[in-house]
Amino acid sequence: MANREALSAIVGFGMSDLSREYTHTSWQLAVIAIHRAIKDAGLNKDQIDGLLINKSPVASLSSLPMDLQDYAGLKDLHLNNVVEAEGSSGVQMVQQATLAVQSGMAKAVVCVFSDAPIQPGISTQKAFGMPLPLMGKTGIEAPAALYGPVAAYGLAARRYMHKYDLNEDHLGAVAVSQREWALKNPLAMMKKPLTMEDHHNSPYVVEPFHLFDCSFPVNGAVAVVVTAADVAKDMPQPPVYVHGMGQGHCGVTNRRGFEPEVQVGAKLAGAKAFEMAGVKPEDIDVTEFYDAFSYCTLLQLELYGFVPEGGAGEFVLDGGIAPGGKLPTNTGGGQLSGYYLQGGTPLSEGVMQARGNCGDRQVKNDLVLTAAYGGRMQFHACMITSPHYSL
Amino acid sequence: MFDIETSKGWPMPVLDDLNRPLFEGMAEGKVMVQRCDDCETWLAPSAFICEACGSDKVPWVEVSGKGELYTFVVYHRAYDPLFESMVPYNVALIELEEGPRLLANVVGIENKDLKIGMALKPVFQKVADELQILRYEPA
Repeated sequence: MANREALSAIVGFGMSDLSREYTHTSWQLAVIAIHRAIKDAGLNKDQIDGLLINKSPVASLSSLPMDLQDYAGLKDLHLNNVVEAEGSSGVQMVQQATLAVQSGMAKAVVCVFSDAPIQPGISTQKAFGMPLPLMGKTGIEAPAALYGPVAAYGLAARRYMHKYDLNEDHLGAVAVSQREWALKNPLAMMKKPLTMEDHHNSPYVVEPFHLFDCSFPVNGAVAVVVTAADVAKDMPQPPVYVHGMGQGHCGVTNRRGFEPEVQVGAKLAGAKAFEMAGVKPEDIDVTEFYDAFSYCTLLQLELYGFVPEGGAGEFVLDGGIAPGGKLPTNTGGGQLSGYYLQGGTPLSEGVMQARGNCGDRQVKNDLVLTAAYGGRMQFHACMITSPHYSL
Repeated sequence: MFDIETSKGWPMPVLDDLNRPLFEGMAEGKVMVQRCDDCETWLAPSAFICEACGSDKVPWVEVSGKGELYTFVVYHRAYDPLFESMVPYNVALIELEEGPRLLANVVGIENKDLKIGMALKPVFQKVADELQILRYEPA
Protein backbone atom coordinates (compact mmCIF):
# COMPACT_ATOMS: atom_id res chain seq x y z
CA MET A 1 0.00 0.00 0.00
CA ALA A 2 1.30 3.41 -0.89
CA ASN A 3 2.09 5.69 2.02
CA ARG A 4 -0.71 8.23 2.03
CA GLU A 5 -0.98 11.19 4.36
CA ALA A 6 -4.25 12.44 5.76
CA LEU A 7 -6.34 15.10 4.00
CA SER A 8 -7.53 16.81 7.20
CA ALA A 9 -8.35 16.01 10.81
CA ILE A 10 -11.33 16.21 13.11
CA VAL A 11 -9.84 17.69 16.29
CA GLY A 12 -12.94 18.75 18.21
CA PHE A 13 -16.27 17.04 18.92
CA GLY A 14 -19.30 18.12 20.90
CA MET A 15 -22.95 17.19 21.27
CA SER A 16 -25.85 18.87 23.01
CA ASP A 17 -27.93 16.76 25.36
CA LEU A 18 -30.36 14.56 23.41
CA SER A 19 -34.04 14.65 24.28
CA ARG A 20 -37.51 13.53 23.30
CA GLU A 21 -38.78 16.63 25.09
CA TYR A 22 -38.57 20.15 23.74
CA THR A 23 -35.96 22.06 25.77
CA HIS A 24 -34.24 24.42 23.33
CA THR A 25 -34.64 25.74 19.81
CA SER A 26 -32.56 24.14 17.08
CA TRP A 27 -30.16 27.08 16.96
CA GLN A 28 -29.71 27.00 20.73
CA LEU A 29 -28.83 23.30 20.57
CA ALA A 30 -26.38 24.14 17.78
CA VAL A 31 -24.69 26.82 19.88
CA ILE A 32 -24.31 24.36 22.78
CA ALA A 33 -22.74 21.70 20.53
CA ILE A 34 -20.48 24.24 18.78
CA HIS A 35 -19.04 25.50 22.05
CA ARG A 36 -18.57 22.00 23.43
CA ALA A 37 -16.67 21.06 20.25
CA ILE A 38 -14.47 24.18 20.39
CA LYS A 39 -13.65 23.56 24.06
CA ASP A 40 -12.99 19.89 23.35
CA ALA A 41 -10.47 20.93 20.68
CA GLY A 42 -8.65 23.11 23.19
CA LEU A 43 -9.46 26.21 21.16
CA ASN A 44 -11.29 29.42 21.96
CA LYS A 45 -14.07 30.71 19.75
CA ASP A 46 -11.90 33.42 18.22
CA GLN A 47 -9.64 30.74 16.72
CA ILE A 48 -12.57 29.41 14.68
CA ASP A 49 -12.59 30.93 11.19
CA GLY A 50 -15.14 28.75 9.41
CA LEU A 51 -18.72 27.65 10.06
CA LEU A 52 -20.73 25.08 8.11
CA ILE A 53 -24.36 24.57 9.07
CA ASN A 54 -26.67 21.60 8.44
CA LYS A 55 -30.37 21.81 9.20
CA SER A 56 -33.02 19.18 8.64
CA PRO A 57 -34.48 19.44 5.12
CA VAL A 58 -37.96 19.61 6.64
CA ALA A 59 -37.06 22.37 9.12
CA SER A 60 -37.43 26.02 8.16
CA LEU A 61 -34.35 27.96 7.16
CA SER A 62 -35.02 30.35 10.04
CA SER A 63 -34.66 27.49 12.53
CA LEU A 64 -30.93 27.36 11.83
CA PRO A 65 -30.00 30.43 9.81
CA MET A 66 -26.74 32.01 8.76
CA ASP A 67 -27.15 34.22 11.84
CA LEU A 68 -25.97 31.19 13.81
CA GLN A 69 -22.56 32.83 13.54
CA ASP A 70 -23.79 35.65 15.77
CA TYR A 71 -25.81 33.42 18.10
CA ALA A 72 -22.57 31.48 18.69
CA GLY A 73 -20.41 34.60 19.00
CA LEU A 74 -18.16 33.73 16.06
CA LYS A 75 -16.29 36.68 14.49
CA ASP A 76 -14.26 37.34 11.36
CA LEU A 77 -15.01 34.06 9.59
CA HIS A 78 -13.40 33.17 6.25
CA LEU A 79 -16.07 30.54 5.49
CA ASN A 80 -19.76 30.49 6.41
CA ASN A 81 -22.44 28.48 4.65
CA VAL A 82 -25.52 26.32 5.03
CA VAL A 83 -24.77 22.94 3.47
CA GLU A 84 -28.06 21.87 1.93
CA ALA A 85 -27.64 18.32 0.71
CA GLU A 86 -30.34 16.87 2.98
CA GLY A 87 -29.19 13.97 5.13
CA SER A 88 -25.85 13.62 3.37
CA SER A 89 -24.80 17.02 4.70
CA GLY A 90 -23.50 15.59 7.96
CA VAL A 91 -20.61 14.11 6.00
CA GLN A 92 -20.59 16.72 3.22
CA MET A 93 -19.79 19.40 5.81
CA VAL A 94 -16.59 17.59 6.79
CA GLN A 95 -15.74 17.15 3.10
CA GLN A 96 -16.17 20.88 2.42
CA ALA A 97 -14.26 21.79 5.57
CA THR A 98 -11.45 19.50 4.39
CA LEU A 99 -11.27 21.30 1.05
CA ALA A 100 -11.21 24.64 2.87
CA VAL A 101 -8.37 23.75 5.25
CA GLN A 102 -6.39 22.03 2.49
CA SER A 103 -6.56 25.12 0.30
CA GLY A 104 -5.78 27.50 3.13
CA MET A 105 -9.12 29.25 2.83
CA ALA A 106 -9.79 28.54 6.52
CA LYS A 107 -7.80 27.05 9.39
CA ALA A 108 -10.39 25.75 11.85
CA VAL A 109 -13.90 25.02 10.59
CA VAL A 110 -16.72 24.07 12.91
CA CYS A 111 -19.43 21.91 11.30
CA VAL A 112 -22.77 21.56 13.06
CA PHE A 113 -25.98 19.58 12.56
CA SER A 114 -28.91 20.53 14.74
CA ASP A 115 -32.60 19.71 14.78
CA ALA A 116 -35.55 20.08 17.12
CA PRO A 117 -38.40 18.24 15.39
CA ILE A 118 -40.17 17.65 18.70
CA GLN A 119 -41.93 20.89 19.61
CA PRO A 120 -44.80 21.62 21.99
CA GLY A 121 -47.84 19.99 20.38
CA ILE A 122 -45.89 18.49 17.48
CA SER A 123 -45.11 14.77 17.48
CA THR A 124 -42.31 13.30 15.41
CA GLN A 125 -44.96 11.68 13.21
CA LYS A 126 -46.37 15.11 12.45
CA ALA A 127 -42.95 16.72 12.10
CA PHE A 128 -41.85 14.29 9.40
CA GLY A 129 -45.27 13.17 8.07
CA MET A 130 -45.91 15.47 5.14
CA PRO A 131 -46.40 14.28 1.55
CA LEU A 132 -43.00 13.77 0.00
CA PRO A 133 -42.29 14.64 -3.64
CA LEU A 134 -41.38 11.05 -4.41
CA MET A 135 -42.28 11.21 -8.09
CA GLY A 136 -40.64 14.51 -8.81
CA LYS A 137 -42.83 17.43 -9.65
CA THR A 138 -46.31 16.05 -10.09
CA GLY A 139 -48.06 16.43 -6.77
CA ILE A 140 -49.58 13.00 -7.29
CA GLU A 141 -48.42 11.87 -3.83
CA ALA A 142 -51.02 13.64 -1.69
CA PRO A 143 -54.10 12.57 -3.67
CA ALA A 144 -52.78 8.98 -3.47
CA ALA A 145 -52.44 9.47 0.33
CA LEU A 146 -48.68 8.91 0.26
CA TYR A 147 -47.53 10.78 3.34
CA GLY A 148 -44.32 10.53 5.30
CA PRO A 149 -40.92 8.97 4.79
CA VAL A 150 -41.92 5.57 6.20
CA ALA A 151 -43.97 4.80 3.09
CA ALA A 152 -41.49 6.32 0.64
CA TYR A 153 -38.82 4.01 2.05
CA GLY A 154 -41.33 1.19 2.39
CA LEU A 155 -41.94 1.21 -1.36
CA ALA A 156 -38.20 0.90 -1.90
CA ALA A 157 -37.74 -1.77 0.75
CA ARG A 158 -40.54 -3.93 -0.70
CA ARG A 159 -38.90 -3.81 -4.14
CA TYR A 160 -35.48 -4.62 -2.68
CA MET A 161 -36.89 -7.52 -0.66
CA HIS A 162 -38.66 -8.85 -3.75
CA LYS A 163 -35.50 -8.64 -5.85
CA TYR A 164 -33.42 -10.66 -3.41
CA ASP A 165 -36.16 -12.84 -1.87
CA LEU A 166 -35.80 -11.36 1.62
CA ASN A 167 -38.33 -11.41 4.43
CA GLU A 168 -39.02 -9.64 7.70
CA ASP A 169 -36.39 -11.72 9.50
CA HIS A 170 -33.73 -9.95 7.49
CA LEU A 171 -35.10 -6.52 8.41
CA GLY A 172 -35.56 -7.61 12.01
CA ALA A 173 -31.97 -8.82 12.22
CA VAL A 174 -30.80 -5.25 11.56
CA ALA A 175 -32.98 -3.90 14.36
CA VAL A 176 -31.92 -6.64 16.79
CA SER A 177 -28.21 -6.19 15.99
CA GLN A 178 -28.36 -2.44 16.45
CA ARG A 179 -30.24 -2.79 19.72
CA GLU A 180 -27.38 -4.96 21.01
CA TRP A 181 -25.02 -2.10 20.24
CA ALA A 182 -27.37 0.47 21.79
CA LEU A 183 -27.34 -1.39 25.11
CA LYS A 184 -23.59 -0.66 25.26
CA ASN A 185 -24.01 3.06 24.45
CA PRO A 186 -24.91 5.45 27.30
CA LEU A 187 -26.11 8.00 24.71
CA ALA A 188 -28.56 5.59 23.08
CA MET A 189 -32.25 6.28 23.63
CA MET A 190 -33.27 2.59 23.61
CA LYS A 191 -32.35 0.86 26.86
CA LYS A 192 -34.17 -2.50 26.70
CA PRO A 193 -33.12 -5.67 24.86
CA LEU A 194 -34.97 -6.44 21.61
CA THR A 195 -35.63 -9.93 20.25
CA MET A 196 -36.68 -10.97 16.75
CA GLU A 197 -40.06 -11.85 18.26
CA ASP A 198 -40.38 -8.34 19.74
CA HIS A 199 -39.60 -6.93 16.30
CA HIS A 200 -42.19 -9.07 14.53
CA ASN A 201 -44.81 -8.40 17.22
CA SER A 202 -44.36 -4.64 17.10
CA PRO A 203 -47.14 -2.96 15.10
CA TYR A 204 -46.76 -2.21 11.45
CA VAL A 205 -46.38 1.48 10.76
CA VAL A 206 -46.38 1.21 6.98
CA GLU A 207 -45.93 -2.38 5.84
CA PRO A 208 -43.32 -3.84 5.30
CA PHE A 209 -41.96 -1.76 8.21
CA HIS A 210 -42.74 -2.62 11.79
CA LEU A 211 -42.25 0.04 14.45
CA PHE A 212 -38.74 -1.25 15.21
CA ASP A 213 -37.68 -0.91 11.57
CA CYS A 214 -38.01 2.86 11.99
CA SER A 215 -35.59 5.38 13.43
CA PHE A 216 -36.06 7.21 16.70
CA PRO A 217 -35.97 11.01 16.24
CA VAL A 218 -34.67 13.23 19.02
CA ASN A 219 -33.89 16.88 19.51
CA GLY A 220 -30.17 17.49 19.56
CA ALA A 221 -27.03 18.76 17.88
CA VAL A 222 -23.62 17.41 16.85
CA ALA A 223 -20.57 19.58 16.07
CA VAL A 224 -17.01 18.84 14.97
CA VAL A 225 -13.96 21.05 14.39
CA VAL A 226 -11.88 20.32 11.27
CA THR A 227 -8.29 21.52 10.80
CA ALA A 228 -5.38 20.72 8.52
CA ALA A 229 -3.94 17.27 9.20
CA ASP A 230 -0.45 18.45 10.09
CA VAL A 231 -1.52 20.58 13.07
CA ALA A 232 -3.73 17.95 14.66
CA LYS A 233 -1.02 16.00 16.46
CA ASP A 234 -0.41 19.00 18.75
CA MET A 235 -4.05 19.24 19.78
CA PRO A 236 -5.38 17.77 23.04
CA GLN A 237 -7.69 15.08 21.62
CA PRO A 238 -6.74 11.98 19.61
CA PRO A 239 -7.02 13.23 16.00
CA VAL A 240 -9.48 11.62 13.62
CA TYR A 241 -7.71 11.80 10.29
CA VAL A 242 -9.73 11.99 7.07
CA HIS A 243 -8.16 9.86 4.34
CA GLY A 244 -10.86 9.44 1.73
CA MET A 245 -14.02 11.24 0.70
CA GLY A 246 -16.65 10.48 -1.89
CA GLN A 247 -20.08 11.45 -3.07
CA GLY A 248 -22.56 9.61 -5.27
CA HIS A 249 -25.78 10.92 -6.77
CA CYS A 250 -27.19 8.58 -9.43
CA GLY A 251 -30.39 10.43 -10.22
CA VAL A 252 -33.83 8.88 -9.97
CA THR A 253 -35.41 7.40 -13.09
CA ASN A 254 -38.94 6.07 -12.65
CA ARG A 255 -39.24 3.80 -15.65
CA ARG A 256 -38.44 0.28 -16.83
CA GLY A 257 -34.76 -0.53 -16.92
CA PHE A 258 -34.00 1.48 -13.78
CA GLU A 259 -34.49 0.53 -10.14
CA PRO A 260 -33.97 3.68 -8.07
CA GLU A 261 -34.99 1.64 -5.02
CA VAL A 262 -31.85 -0.50 -5.35
CA GLN A 263 -29.50 1.48 -7.59
CA VAL A 264 -28.48 4.36 -5.35
CA GLY A 265 -25.33 6.48 -5.20
CA ALA A 266 -23.62 4.69 -2.32
CA LYS A 267 -21.58 2.61 -4.77
CA LEU A 268 -20.31 5.71 -6.57
CA ALA A 269 -19.52 7.45 -3.30
CA GLY A 270 -17.69 4.46 -1.87
CA ALA A 271 -15.62 3.82 -4.98
CA LYS A 272 -14.31 7.40 -4.91
CA ALA A 273 -13.49 7.35 -1.20
CA PHE A 274 -11.78 3.95 -1.29
CA GLU A 275 -9.67 5.06 -4.27
CA MET A 276 -8.66 8.28 -2.51
CA ALA A 277 -7.69 6.48 0.69
CA GLY A 278 -6.00 3.65 -1.18
CA VAL A 279 -7.93 0.98 0.71
CA LYS A 280 -10.55 -1.64 -0.06
CA PRO A 281 -13.87 -2.46 1.61
CA GLU A 282 -12.32 -5.53 3.27
CA ASP A 283 -9.81 -3.24 5.01
CA ILE A 284 -12.55 -1.34 6.87
CA ASP A 285 -12.88 -2.22 10.57
CA VAL A 286 -16.12 -0.49 11.49
CA THR A 287 -18.91 1.21 9.56
CA GLU A 288 -21.37 3.92 10.56
CA PHE A 289 -24.34 4.42 8.23
CA TYR A 290 -27.28 6.75 8.03
CA ASP A 291 -29.92 4.11 8.74
CA ALA A 292 -33.32 5.79 8.86
CA PHE A 293 -34.97 2.40 8.23
CA SER A 294 -33.67 -1.14 8.65
CA TYR A 295 -33.52 -1.78 4.91
CA CYS A 296 -31.12 1.14 4.43
CA THR A 297 -28.36 -0.66 6.33
CA LEU A 298 -28.79 -3.78 4.20
CA LEU A 299 -28.58 -1.88 0.93
CA GLN A 300 -25.55 0.17 2.00
CA LEU A 301 -23.65 -2.93 3.17
CA GLU A 302 -24.00 -4.18 -0.40
CA LEU A 303 -23.31 -0.99 -2.33
CA TYR A 304 -20.26 -0.04 -0.25
CA GLY A 305 -18.89 -3.44 -1.22
CA PHE A 306 -18.85 -5.27 2.12
CA VAL A 307 -21.06 -8.12 0.89
CA PRO A 308 -22.24 -9.21 -2.57
CA GLU A 309 -25.39 -7.53 -3.87
CA GLY A 310 -28.31 -9.41 -2.40
CA GLY A 311 -26.13 -10.86 0.34
CA ALA A 312 -26.69 -8.39 3.16
CA GLY A 313 -29.80 -10.07 4.55
CA GLU A 314 -28.02 -13.36 5.24
CA PHE A 315 -24.90 -11.54 6.47
CA VAL A 316 -26.90 -9.63 9.06
CA LEU A 317 -28.99 -12.65 10.02
CA ASP A 318 -25.71 -14.45 10.75
CA GLY A 319 -24.71 -11.68 13.17
CA GLY A 320 -22.35 -9.96 10.73
CA ILE A 321 -22.97 -6.42 11.98
CA ALA A 322 -23.72 -7.16 15.66
CA PRO A 323 -21.21 -7.05 18.53
CA GLY A 324 -18.62 -9.73 17.78
CA GLY A 325 -19.59 -9.81 14.10
CA LYS A 326 -17.33 -9.59 11.08
CA LEU A 327 -18.15 -5.94 10.36
CA PRO A 328 -19.30 -3.95 13.41
CA THR A 329 -21.89 -1.52 12.03
CA ASN A 330 -23.86 1.32 13.58
CA THR A 331 -22.05 0.63 16.82
CA GLY A 332 -23.93 3.25 18.83
CA GLY A 333 -27.27 1.65 17.98
CA GLY A 334 -27.63 3.72 14.83
CA GLN A 335 -30.74 5.72 14.14
CA LEU A 336 -33.03 2.81 15.00
CA SER A 337 -31.93 2.34 18.60
CA GLY A 338 -29.40 5.09 19.29
CA TYR A 339 -30.68 8.46 18.17
CA TYR A 340 -31.91 9.89 14.88
CA LEU A 341 -29.97 13.07 14.20
CA GLN A 342 -29.78 12.59 10.42
CA GLY A 343 -26.15 12.80 9.26
CA GLY A 344 -25.15 13.70 12.81
CA THR A 345 -25.74 10.11 13.91
CA PRO A 346 -23.05 8.35 11.84
CA LEU A 347 -20.77 11.40 12.15
CA SER A 348 -20.84 11.35 15.95
CA GLU A 349 -20.38 7.60 16.40
CA GLY A 350 -17.70 7.53 13.69
CA VAL A 351 -15.70 10.19 15.54
CA MET A 352 -16.06 8.42 18.90
CA GLN A 353 -14.98 5.08 17.42
CA ALA A 354 -11.99 6.57 15.59
CA ARG A 355 -10.90 8.30 18.80
CA GLY A 356 -11.16 5.07 20.76
CA ASN A 357 -13.61 6.63 23.22
CA CYS A 358 -16.38 4.06 23.00
CA GLY A 359 -15.88 2.08 26.20
CA ASP A 360 -17.73 -1.25 26.16
CA ARG A 361 -18.61 -0.88 22.51
CA GLN A 362 -15.16 0.12 21.26
CA VAL A 363 -13.97 -1.98 18.32
CA LYS A 364 -10.83 -2.13 16.23
CA ASN A 365 -10.72 1.27 14.57
CA ASP A 366 -7.78 1.54 12.18
CA LEU A 367 -10.19 2.36 9.37
CA VAL A 368 -13.70 3.73 9.89
CA LEU A 369 -16.24 4.26 7.10
CA THR A 370 -18.79 6.98 7.87
CA ALA A 371 -21.61 7.35 5.37
CA ALA A 372 -24.67 9.55 5.16
CA TYR A 373 -27.38 10.01 2.58
CA GLY A 374 -30.26 12.36 1.88
CA GLY A 375 -33.61 12.25 0.17
CA ARG A 376 -34.93 8.73 -0.19
CA MET A 377 -31.34 7.54 -0.53
CA GLN A 378 -30.70 9.78 -3.56
CA PHE A 379 -27.73 11.76 -2.24
CA HIS A 380 -24.74 9.95 -0.75
CA ALA A 381 -21.56 11.15 0.91
CA CYS A 382 -18.97 9.11 2.77
CA MET A 383 -15.54 9.39 4.31
CA ILE A 384 -12.82 7.05 5.49
CA THR A 385 -11.18 8.09 8.74
CA SER A 386 -8.44 6.70 10.93
CA PRO A 387 -6.49 7.45 14.12
CA HIS A 388 -3.38 7.18 11.91
CA TYR A 389 -1.85 10.14 10.06
CA SER A 390 -0.42 7.89 7.35
CA LEU A 391 -1.94 4.81 5.79
CA MET B 1 -41.80 20.93 -0.47
CA PHE B 2 -44.97 20.13 -2.36
CA ASP B 3 -48.02 22.22 -1.44
CA ILE B 4 -51.48 20.83 -1.08
CA GLU B 5 -54.91 22.30 -0.55
CA THR B 6 -57.56 20.39 1.32
CA SER B 7 -61.05 20.67 -0.05
CA LYS B 8 -64.10 18.48 0.54
CA GLY B 9 -62.05 16.21 2.75
CA TRP B 10 -59.36 15.34 0.26
CA PRO B 11 -55.97 16.88 -0.51
CA MET B 12 -56.27 18.62 -3.84
CA PRO B 13 -53.32 18.80 -6.20
CA VAL B 14 -52.08 22.30 -6.85
CA LEU B 15 -52.13 22.38 -10.62
CA ASP B 16 -49.35 23.96 -12.63
CA ASP B 17 -48.16 23.79 -16.23
CA LEU B 18 -46.11 20.68 -15.47
CA ASN B 19 -48.83 18.51 -13.96
CA ARG B 20 -52.10 19.91 -15.37
CA PRO B 21 -52.36 17.46 -18.30
CA LEU B 22 -52.00 14.54 -15.90
CA PHE B 23 -54.89 15.61 -13.66
CA GLU B 24 -57.06 16.92 -16.52
CA GLY B 25 -56.59 13.53 -18.13
CA MET B 26 -57.75 11.81 -14.96
CA ALA B 27 -60.86 14.01 -14.88
CA GLU B 28 -61.70 12.77 -18.40
CA GLY B 29 -60.85 9.15 -17.63
CA LYS B 30 -57.57 9.17 -19.54
CA VAL B 31 -54.09 8.04 -18.50
CA MET B 32 -51.59 10.61 -19.73
CA VAL B 33 -47.80 10.30 -19.75
CA GLN B 34 -45.08 12.05 -21.70
CA ARG B 35 -42.89 10.83 -24.54
CA CYS B 36 -39.87 12.50 -26.02
CA ASP B 37 -40.43 13.54 -29.63
CA ASP B 38 -36.72 13.26 -30.43
CA CYS B 39 -35.56 10.00 -28.82
CA GLU B 40 -38.99 8.41 -28.17
CA THR B 41 -38.23 7.69 -24.51
CA TRP B 42 -41.38 7.33 -22.41
CA LEU B 43 -41.15 9.58 -19.33
CA ALA B 44 -42.73 9.38 -15.90
CA PRO B 45 -44.68 12.52 -14.97
CA SER B 46 -43.75 15.26 -14.91
CA ALA B 47 -40.86 16.05 -17.21
CA PHE B 48 -39.76 19.53 -18.24
CA ILE B 49 -37.12 18.09 -20.54
CA CYS B 50 -36.30 14.52 -21.60
CA GLU B 51 -33.95 13.11 -18.98
CA ALA B 52 -32.52 10.70 -21.57
CA CYS B 53 -31.54 13.09 -24.38
CA GLY B 54 -32.20 16.58 -23.07
CA SER B 55 -34.83 17.47 -25.67
CA ASP B 56 -37.48 19.98 -24.64
CA LYS B 57 -40.09 18.34 -26.88
CA VAL B 58 -41.88 16.16 -24.34
CA PRO B 59 -45.61 16.19 -25.22
CA TRP B 60 -48.29 14.39 -23.24
CA VAL B 61 -49.74 11.29 -24.88
CA GLU B 62 -52.75 9.19 -23.90
CA VAL B 63 -51.92 5.53 -23.18
CA SER B 64 -54.01 2.50 -22.22
CA GLY B 65 -52.74 2.71 -18.65
CA LYS B 66 -52.32 -1.05 -18.39
CA GLY B 67 -49.36 -2.19 -16.37
CA GLU B 68 -48.09 -4.32 -13.55
CA LEU B 69 -47.49 -3.86 -9.84
CA TYR B 70 -43.90 -2.72 -9.31
CA THR B 71 -43.94 -2.22 -5.53
CA PHE B 72 -46.40 -1.24 -2.79
CA VAL B 73 -46.84 -0.38 0.86
CA VAL B 74 -49.76 -0.80 3.26
CA TYR B 75 -50.47 2.00 5.73
CA HIS B 76 -51.46 0.76 9.18
CA ARG B 77 -51.87 4.25 10.57
CA ALA B 78 -53.13 7.51 9.11
CA TYR B 79 -50.67 10.33 8.75
CA ASP B 80 -53.61 12.67 8.23
CA PRO B 81 -57.06 12.33 9.84
CA LEU B 82 -58.51 12.48 6.32
CA PHE B 83 -57.30 8.95 5.68
CA GLU B 84 -58.30 7.30 8.96
CA SER B 85 -61.34 5.55 7.48
CA MET B 86 -59.14 4.01 4.74
CA VAL B 87 -56.63 2.31 7.06
CA PRO B 88 -55.25 -0.19 6.24
CA TYR B 89 -54.79 1.18 2.71
CA ASN B 90 -52.16 0.63 0.06
CA VAL B 91 -50.09 2.93 -2.13
CA ALA B 92 -48.34 1.36 -5.10
CA LEU B 93 -46.05 2.07 -7.99
CA ILE B 94 -47.41 0.68 -11.25
CA GLU B 95 -45.11 0.10 -14.22
CA LEU B 96 -47.00 0.89 -17.41
CA GLU B 97 -46.62 -1.28 -20.49
CA GLU B 98 -44.73 1.64 -22.05
CA GLY B 99 -42.26 1.74 -19.13
CA PRO B 100 -42.98 4.79 -16.96
CA ARG B 101 -44.11 4.20 -13.38
CA LEU B 102 -47.11 5.89 -11.77
CA LEU B 103 -48.08 6.20 -8.13
CA ALA B 104 -51.63 5.09 -7.28
CA ASN B 105 -53.80 3.09 -4.90
CA VAL B 106 -54.86 -0.43 -5.93
CA VAL B 107 -58.53 -1.15 -5.28
CA GLY B 108 -60.78 -4.17 -5.67
CA ILE B 109 -58.34 -6.52 -3.94
CA GLU B 110 -57.38 -7.37 -0.37
CA ASN B 111 -54.02 -5.92 0.61
CA LYS B 112 -52.77 -9.39 1.55
CA ASP B 113 -53.34 -10.55 -2.03
CA LEU B 114 -51.17 -7.87 -3.65
CA LYS B 115 -48.19 -9.39 -5.47
CA ILE B 116 -45.37 -7.63 -7.27
CA GLY B 117 -45.70 -8.36 -10.99
CA MET B 118 -49.47 -8.82 -11.02
CA ALA B 119 -51.33 -7.34 -14.01
CA LEU B 120 -53.33 -4.20 -13.29
CA LYS B 121 -55.68 -1.95 -15.22
CA PRO B 122 -56.71 1.64 -14.57
CA VAL B 123 -59.94 2.67 -12.89
CA PHE B 124 -61.04 6.23 -12.21
CA GLN B 125 -62.63 7.15 -8.89
CA LYS B 126 -64.05 10.37 -7.53
CA VAL B 127 -62.52 11.17 -4.16
CA ALA B 128 -64.03 14.66 -3.89
CA ASP B 129 -66.71 16.58 -5.76
CA GLU B 130 -64.14 18.13 -8.07
CA LEU B 131 -61.41 15.50 -8.02
CA GLN B 132 -61.36 12.22 -9.93
CA ILE B 133 -58.09 10.32 -9.59
CA LEU B 134 -56.45 7.38 -11.27
CA ARG B 135 -56.44 4.15 -9.30
CA TYR B 136 -55.76 0.55 -10.30
CA GLU B 137 -57.51 -2.80 -10.03
CA PRO B 138 -56.54 -6.36 -10.98
CA ALA B 139 -56.70 -6.87 -14.74
